[in-house]
Amino acid sequence: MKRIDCTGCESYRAMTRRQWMRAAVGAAGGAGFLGLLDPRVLYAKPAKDRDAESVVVLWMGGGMSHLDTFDPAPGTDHGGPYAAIDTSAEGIQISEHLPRLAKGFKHLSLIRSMTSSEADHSRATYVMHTGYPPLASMQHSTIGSIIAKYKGRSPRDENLPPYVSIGIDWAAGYLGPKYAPYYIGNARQSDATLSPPQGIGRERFKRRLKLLNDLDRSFKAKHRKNDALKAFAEHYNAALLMMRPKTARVFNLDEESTAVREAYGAESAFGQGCLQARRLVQAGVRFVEVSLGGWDTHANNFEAVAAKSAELDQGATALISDLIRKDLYDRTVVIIASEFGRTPRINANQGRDHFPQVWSVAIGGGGLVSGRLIGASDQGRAVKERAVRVGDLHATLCKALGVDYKQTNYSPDKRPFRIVKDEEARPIGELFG
Amino acid sequence: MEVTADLAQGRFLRLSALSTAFVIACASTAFAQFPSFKSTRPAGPKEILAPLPAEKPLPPEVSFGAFRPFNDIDRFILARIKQEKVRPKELCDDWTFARRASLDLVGITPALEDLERYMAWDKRERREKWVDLLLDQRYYADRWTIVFGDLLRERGGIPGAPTNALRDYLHSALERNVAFDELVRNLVSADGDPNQNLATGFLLRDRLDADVLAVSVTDAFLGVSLKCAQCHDHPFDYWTQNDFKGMAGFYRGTRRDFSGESLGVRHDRRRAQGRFLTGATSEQGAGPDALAELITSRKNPYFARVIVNRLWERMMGVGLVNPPNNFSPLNPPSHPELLDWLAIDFIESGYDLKHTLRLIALSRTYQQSSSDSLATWASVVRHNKETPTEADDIVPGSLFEGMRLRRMSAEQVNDSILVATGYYSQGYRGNRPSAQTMYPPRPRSFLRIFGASDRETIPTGVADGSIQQALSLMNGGFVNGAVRSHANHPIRRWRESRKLNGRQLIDAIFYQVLTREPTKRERKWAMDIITDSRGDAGWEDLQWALFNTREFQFIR
Repeated sequence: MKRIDCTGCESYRAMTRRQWMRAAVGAAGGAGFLGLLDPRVLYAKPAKDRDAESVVVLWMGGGMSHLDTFDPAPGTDHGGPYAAIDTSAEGIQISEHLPRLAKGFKHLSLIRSMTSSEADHSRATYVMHTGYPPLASMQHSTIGSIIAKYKGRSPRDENLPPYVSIGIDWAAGYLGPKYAPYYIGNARQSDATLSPPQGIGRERFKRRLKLLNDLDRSFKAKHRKNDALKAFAEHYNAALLMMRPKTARVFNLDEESTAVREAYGAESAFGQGCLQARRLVQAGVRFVEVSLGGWDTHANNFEAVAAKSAELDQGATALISDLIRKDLYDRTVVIIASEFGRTPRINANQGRDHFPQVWSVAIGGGGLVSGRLIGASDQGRAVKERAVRVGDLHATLCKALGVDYKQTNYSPDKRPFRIVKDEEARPIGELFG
Repeated sequence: MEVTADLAQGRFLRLSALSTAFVIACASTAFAQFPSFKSTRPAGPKEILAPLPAEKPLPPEVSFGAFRPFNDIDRFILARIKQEKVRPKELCDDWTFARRASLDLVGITPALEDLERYMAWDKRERREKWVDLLLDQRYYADRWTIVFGDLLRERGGIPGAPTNALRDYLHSALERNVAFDELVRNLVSADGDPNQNLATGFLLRDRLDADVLAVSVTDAFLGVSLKCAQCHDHPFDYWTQNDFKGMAGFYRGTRRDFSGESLGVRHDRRRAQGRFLTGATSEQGAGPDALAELITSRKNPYFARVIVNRLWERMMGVGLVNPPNNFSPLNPPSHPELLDWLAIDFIESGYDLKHTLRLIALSRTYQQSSSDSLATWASVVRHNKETPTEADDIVPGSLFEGMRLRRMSAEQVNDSILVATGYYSQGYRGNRPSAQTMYPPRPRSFLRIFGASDRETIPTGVADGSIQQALSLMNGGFVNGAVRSHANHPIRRWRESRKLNGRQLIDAIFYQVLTREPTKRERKWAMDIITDSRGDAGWEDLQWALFNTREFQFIR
């Protein structure tokens, strides 16, 4: 019966999509099906004044080359052709291909000493999101699900899902489907399924739901304890709540002016995702992730990174300045992160390969100290001072939002999981005034 | 040592030559960059799986009260259940069996006409005849073409091969129930003109790239993932980059032949330099023919075990070895003797896929009721009174004391809705609807929203729920289009040719969608909405509601 895991490293069993998506379902309680949900239980306790309310993660999927973005080493053999430019934060230089971010960098702090031992995309991405290495038998919850659980639904619209993920999909993990993200594939296209199809009016839809509720009864009664069935009900409940017109509007980017849409990059799915993120945190959603893929630059690194940087530069800058303008930045933590950096060595294809030894993460907003440089690398080749690990980053997020990162949650089969696995992990003190 | 030295500087060999899919899947770990970890790798000869015994293990004698075995599978399963002091579940009813077996063997909910035959058969031989009926249906090949298509990452568009070459090859082989060892040999050593030999689609799918083919073949047919070994020596695993290179060596001489009239696939045997994973050698040399022989040899301890485990996983929801692409002495099966028994039985049947599927479907184990509380990690460990560690990480349901309640796969939901509503045009071979879709399915399509494989990474699709799926089933164009009263809708046929009245029609719809009769109350609810509506709106609403029930979307 026992299966011996390859402790510490299972990467030969490269993670499957099944594992990524597996919903280790079974949230406690099991709310009623179809409108029987009591919205009061979904409210979070009011946040303390100083706690941030929301998080936006801008996810640079594929492994963003730190040397060609946030940790330039111009003039070295491995530094590549880009120039480094000054930013509005004293003592911080970044790549010339991020000019707008450079101008506003005083609103961000920069960690240049992220480090891990995971150099496989799926594993490293999993670890950055959950804080745990993948297991074959169950799915851990992402930090997004954890924040969603502890901060609860939006105090301004309890029908909104607390966690939305754009361009990258996650299962809820052991916390159950209530905290799974609502997934948006491409923010440029609005989701037509947020309202009933043409020709099905309100009354008819209600009638359909009533019949569905009736027909579902006997099966539901027979399998009262089944976690997968409970998950199913959770998904329908969440879907029905989101369909309410006031809530569905939050997902309609057409309500924004052309000027605003263009400011974020009208042609960029990532840019529109950033705009969607701003609308979501404005409406009180707790955790939004927006993915910008294509950083896996094994070949032609310098062309690709310049193009990706332009997209990141426009979207992220538009988001941060919009949040500041709307007085939302102080209560919203914004992070620009990736699963690892890329090798100092430039390979034969003018590319750089996977490099988890050291990379960079930018973080700001949410009342965190900004304009500060945290840690340092040895010209992007290794951590020089103050290593920061994923546990530290998660602990920082929790602290910013007023969530105790030392708490333990339990899976449906009663396995304990600390929010932050590593007991040595600490919030990054420099970010708290 | 040289390899390690290279790796210490972060050089990943040949990485740029690999397809995106495998770069994404490439598992490289930074442990490899610390030479001190090197010593933990087992030294000396590779430990591989024990050879298959010469004869089938003897099924244990088991007496377990009323729980009598139907065939030898059950003897192994019941003996173990008894030993763990767990109680097996009762048998499921005939309707449940008809539905479950139909979804598992042919991928759709049963048609009304077939159910009528089923219920007319003598109760004692009903289930056996039903399994035979399903295995003879043309839908059988459709269903398993999708399963093997996921495994081999089949794509409709393969450069240099006719459209759907690999799928057409698989479909035709499965339709004729070609012996599985022969099927695999044909794929692994395919050569010649792709228009004449569609099996070449398997090799062309990965552009004849020896490295990618090594990973692909080893994963699919040996149940071993070489994704790590591709880039570096894995500190805790048996398989090294040397093993990976050995497997890739079989295809080093494989090229497109530009000399003839068409661009055929040709194997230059002199350039091939394969070394088989287990150390076995072949008189046929070191090219694809030798590889095909070595994979399918009776002496290969992996091949038969791996395929019967995949069949088991498809039918039961969890493998005897889990995950099914991690066959290793470190990952023993939950029921080692049953696995060997099934593997040898499969070989003795002449590598007959239908034989093993039939055997599983007719076992008592497969016919148990589904249960919401199967033995889990916690319960088994607690029972053994040990402190749980990560090594006790077992998959719930691995004792098979009852059936898992499973979510339908993307294709099962899609095709069951289409067949129940007649919402398709006759297309690809006139077979079931998803067989008309060119794989991989488009992003944001119904199949993708429901977790169909993207056919990039080797593992197959998933069947987990999501908010998007609920929205799609309630409001999407697909379900709402299917339930409308269109010309091909079976309601029309039943009304016109069978002259069914309202009540009979309601019953027919329940049978077609849920594989059971409606209860009195359900019939009344349905009748109410139909009489209260204008035209066919009530019928549409009834089907809409049925497709949105949990009962429809789960395999009970």
